[in-house]
Amino acid sequence: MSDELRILIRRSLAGSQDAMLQLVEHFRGRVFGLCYRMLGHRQDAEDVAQETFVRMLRSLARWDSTREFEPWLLAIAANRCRTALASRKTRPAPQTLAVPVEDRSGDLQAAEHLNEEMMLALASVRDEYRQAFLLFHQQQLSYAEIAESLDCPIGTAKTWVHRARKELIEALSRRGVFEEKQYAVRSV
Amino acid sequence: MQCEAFEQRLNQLLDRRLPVEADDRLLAHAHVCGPCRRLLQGQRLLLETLQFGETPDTSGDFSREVVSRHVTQQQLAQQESARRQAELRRSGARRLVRTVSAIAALALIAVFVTAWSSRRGGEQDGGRPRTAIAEAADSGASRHVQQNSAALPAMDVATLVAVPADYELYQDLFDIFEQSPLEAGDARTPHGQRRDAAMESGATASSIANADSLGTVEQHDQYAMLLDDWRMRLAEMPAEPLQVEQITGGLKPITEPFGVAFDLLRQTLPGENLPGQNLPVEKPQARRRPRLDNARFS
Repeated sequence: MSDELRILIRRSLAGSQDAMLQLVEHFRGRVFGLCYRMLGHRQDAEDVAQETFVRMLRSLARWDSTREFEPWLLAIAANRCRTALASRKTRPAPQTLAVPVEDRSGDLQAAEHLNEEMMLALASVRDEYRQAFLLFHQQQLSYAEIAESLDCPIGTAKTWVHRARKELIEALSRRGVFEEKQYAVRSV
Repeated sequence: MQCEAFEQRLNQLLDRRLPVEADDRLLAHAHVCGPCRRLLQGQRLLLETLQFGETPDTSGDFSREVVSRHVTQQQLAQQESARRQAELRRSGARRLVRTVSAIAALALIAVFVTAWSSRRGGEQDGGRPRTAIAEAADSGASRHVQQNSAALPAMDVATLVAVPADYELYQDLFDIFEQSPLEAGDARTPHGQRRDAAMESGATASSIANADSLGTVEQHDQYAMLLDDWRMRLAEMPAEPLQVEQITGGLKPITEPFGVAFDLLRQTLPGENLPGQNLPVEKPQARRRPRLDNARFS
């Protein structure tokens, strides 16, 4: 963990709102990305991300400074996502409005299409598999950190990631993604 | 390479975050196996989409909203904590007042009980408790006993027996039994006592009356004569109430009218003493019984 981050945390603990702002800004993208991939809904993801950061600031004093900060924060986010998914089962799922895709260049449209397909595939796998997969491939956490975040053995975390990979490929194959033209995904 | 080994190798590379395109064995197998080729392409596409795929951004004031929510919650928590502490202090003060009140009430009760018990102790006569009932019994109910108190310094009420009013008239009937003294504390009737005591051979009066083999003929005849004479005189005896009733232990005869007894009982209650009177307030059951001198019947 960088010294800059340690200073930010210490100042936040002292009550500096500016430090809190910088701390949230530093991890905003990663936490929101995880929530968005987990929930598949922008507004829900933003709500859960906000809740994650509020909880992080509230329990900052209980954070063990000998451990990494990011896995601890992502564990909070993963727990909040699980809670949101559990509560979503008791109420109607949010429906995304069908937004007409603009007529842009072919590559960009293909990338958006592929992104949507991947979101659908992610939504089809079990929550634990999706969580472990995203923490490993999106957040680049190690299996030990994933196991700590999800409170499970390392072997279980590894199994979840492998099954997520397999089920995602199967889901994308069922939707005929690979039979279409070969996509080339580039950073935009 | 088999397809199963291909999948294992692919997972190993992905777990170590190594590029799958650089592995010659995987590429060689993917070149000849269609499903494994699609699997390899799919994995690569999936991870690239995940890394470079477009993710919508949060709203512009996301961070400020978060900090604002946190600060507001903290202020609310502090206010709630302060309110709880104030309530705790108030409840502590209330508890203290209640405790002091309870202690004061207990002290008052203790003082009252002590004063009452000391007053009660002062009313005892030389350490010997006397009761209103005893007073009443001395003056009324046991008047007969009191008249003979000179001859009966100690009388046990439990050993009192029923005696006919004209007991003295039949004194001569029992002369033949004077040979044997009465057993002390025998609660049976004087007739039975004397009758049994007279049986020197050990036979009882009932056995003689029933003509048991234990009694001798002479004893039987004597007793039969005695009984006949008794029956004859009994018919001439006037039916009068007994002078002293035989009662069970613990109960005292009340010969006074009920109103007098009630007044006496009422005076035993605390604060009910009439002016100028110093009646004891001891329970009736605690009265000492005078011992009966058995020589009275001898």
